[in-house]
Amino acid sequence: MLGWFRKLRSLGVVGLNSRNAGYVLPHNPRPLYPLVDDKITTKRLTESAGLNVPELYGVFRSQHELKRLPELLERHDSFVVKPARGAGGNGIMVITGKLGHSFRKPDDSLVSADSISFHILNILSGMYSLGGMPDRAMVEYCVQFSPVFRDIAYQGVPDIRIIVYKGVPVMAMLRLPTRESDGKANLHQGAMGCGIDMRTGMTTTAVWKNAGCDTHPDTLNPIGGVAIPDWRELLKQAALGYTVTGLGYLGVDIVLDKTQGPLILELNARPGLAIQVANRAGLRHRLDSVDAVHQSLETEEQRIDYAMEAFAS
Amino acid sequence: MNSLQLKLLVSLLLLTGLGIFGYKAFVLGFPLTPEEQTRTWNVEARVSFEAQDSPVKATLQTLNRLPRFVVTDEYFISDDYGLLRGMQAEDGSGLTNDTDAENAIAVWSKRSAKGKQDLFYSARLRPENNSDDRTWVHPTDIPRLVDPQFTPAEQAAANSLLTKVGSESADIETFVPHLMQLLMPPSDNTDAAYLLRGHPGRLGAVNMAVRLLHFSGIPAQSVHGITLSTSNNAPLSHWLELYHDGAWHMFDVTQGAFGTPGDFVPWWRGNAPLASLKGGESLEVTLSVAPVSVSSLKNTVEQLNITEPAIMGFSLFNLPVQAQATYRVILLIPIGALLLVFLRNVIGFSTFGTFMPALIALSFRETELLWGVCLFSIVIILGLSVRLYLEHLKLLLVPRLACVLIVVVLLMAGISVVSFKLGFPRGISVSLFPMVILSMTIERVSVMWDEMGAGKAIQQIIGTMAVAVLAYLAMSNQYIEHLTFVFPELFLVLLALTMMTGRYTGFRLLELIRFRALLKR
Repeated sequence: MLGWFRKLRSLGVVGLNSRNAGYVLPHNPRPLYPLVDDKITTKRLTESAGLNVPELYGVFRSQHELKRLPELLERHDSFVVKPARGAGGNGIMVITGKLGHSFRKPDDSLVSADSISFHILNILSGMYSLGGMPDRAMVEYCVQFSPVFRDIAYQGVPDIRIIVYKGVPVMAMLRLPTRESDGKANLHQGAMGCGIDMRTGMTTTAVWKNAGCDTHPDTLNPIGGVAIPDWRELLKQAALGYTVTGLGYLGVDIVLDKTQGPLILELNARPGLAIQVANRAGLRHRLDSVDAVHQSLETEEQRIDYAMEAFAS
Repeated sequence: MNSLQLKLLVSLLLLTGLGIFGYKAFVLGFPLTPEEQTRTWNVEARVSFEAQDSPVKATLQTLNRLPRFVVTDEYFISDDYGLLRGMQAEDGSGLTNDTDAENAIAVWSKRSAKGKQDLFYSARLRPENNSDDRTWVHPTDIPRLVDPQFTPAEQAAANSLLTKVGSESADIETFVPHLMQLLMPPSDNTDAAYLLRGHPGRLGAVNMAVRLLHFSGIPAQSVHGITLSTSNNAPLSHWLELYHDGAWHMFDVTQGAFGTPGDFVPWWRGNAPLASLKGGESLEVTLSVAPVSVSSLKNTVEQLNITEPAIMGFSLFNLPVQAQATYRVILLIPIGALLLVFLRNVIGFSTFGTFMPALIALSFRETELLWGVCLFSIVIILGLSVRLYLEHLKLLLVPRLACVLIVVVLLMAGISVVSFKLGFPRGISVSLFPMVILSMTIERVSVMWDEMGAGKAIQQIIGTMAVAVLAYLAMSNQYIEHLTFVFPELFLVLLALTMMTGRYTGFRLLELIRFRALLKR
């Protein structure tokens, strides 16, 4: 067993304890957390810095504001309802279309306007927020996901998670929803993770339910070798996440929209470690090399150049 | 810098904690295990006499400053006698405030008494440090030679007696036994008989021997006491303490030989009698000795209350019993917390809530393990089904929580009533505390059920339960309970361990599973 520990260490795998003590605690000062924990704040911040984010349709702060819901539902056919301070992708309701008085979810089931307003009430009462605190609900643009991933995604929206360390993107992963994850892109809920080559933006290896795998379990198409368009732009958006928030160890979640290109969905001050499994590589060596050079990298462009150069697989 | 600070702090905590622990365990004698027993002795003296319808004054030697023992629980039982306690010099003169005097006495007095009188003195002898060590402790002061105050006739008799003994012996080893042989009644030596007139009995002979030894230039004193063995009529035994050639020698009068006292407990020294009486007759003193086994912990606490009141004043033992019982439980929470820190950060378990399992374990303490787990499962399953039904009614979060709480309370009451009816008294051992924890657990479980699916939720329930059972096993261990309550300073050690775990940046055990795809290559 000690041999396994040694092997993990030599692979440069970062464990939870090490991530918290070595990266999150020293580089993410607590007062900055609200910037990323509250998605409404994040949205305002990133929008003003010129980052692309999904358009915000409306915010519900209290029960009586639900009066405005019918009018909002009238105006938009597809949208996403989210808690502002939700954790782990919980409490997200995606509506892809309208059918008479009902609304269609990605799995083609129908919900009523009442269900949507009940869901918002649940969000407001803090059901999905960290620590059960009262929360706000936001309704935003539902990403029309880019056909790039049509063959390797099952419902839901595939997203790209990039770990940014001191402004340098160090590792990236494509998260593909599966039938089992119910359209959600969280790996622990059954989504699939694919490693991405930092230089080319091509998918490499994949992991599903903690085991390596080459084809998508639902579409049965091969995962590797899919190129992500606008890769450099994507990296730039991620690197800007650091400039905007000042969080030294940051997870940036980006989706590709059919018409609007890369959109930042959320920022995470405690990004998970499954990205290492998807890439079949540990983070430590990359983090160490950033530690060695980050002083000399002053602009986003320099950082991206460095990342594409140093972390190509 | 931080790491240096932490190391310093951790070692400081470890040193302080272990230091105080060592001092308490090995110097003050707090027992390390709860069931350790110590044999203490109950000693009782019964003074009985016939009063003659006149003022009565009875004096009794009481126990004072015994080597290797602490005297506690001293009681003086007498109907309506006045009681005076004080010290008495070794020559047997009256009460004095001189704390250097060796003997403690009690004086009972009454203006007028008639008929048979019974007075009692009882005391508890507690061995110091709970040890069975009975090596004799010699007095520290070397006795002064005193003038035996013989009359000229007595001087002549003493001289003749000592010459006879001297000629028949070679050294002190043979001198003292010969002297005692001549003095002990019945004595056929005329010199001895003359000297002993008015000093009857063994006590008289012993005290005369002391005077004679002083007369011949050997500092000596008599010690009177009892042997520690169960007896309803314990005999007094007498020893002579001689200081000769720079060393103490002990002469056992009963055996007529030099020796080392074993289970002998000195009661008083000098030539005073055990009891004396004015205004009565047929004085009789009966001594009884009985062993009593008490827990070592209680013994130490009682002792220290007398010998080290400053230390005991600031210990948990000084709290009211009710508060002590509460602290016995509260002090277990850090144990559960440390276990949780270990299970979460080193093993990598995930549980509902950070310290929820420790609290669940605490509530198991009130219900006992098996029944606790059953009750917990039943209430959680029933509570969850209610919760899932309420989901359909689309109630808001807080009212729904309240509904769950109400239902849990009803369920618990129902289970108590039914199980009592069926004859399981355990069912009513539910108290306020587990109830709140149960409702909180149900709510957390149901939120997780919604978000992560039934499988994940059940997995976490089982994980939480397993951790709670582990925590319960640690927290219900009577040794751990004993150690935390008697040696709360061990929490400094606990704190140091927790701090060290706080800097553990290695992998968690379960991360091996998490990263197993990486290990396969």
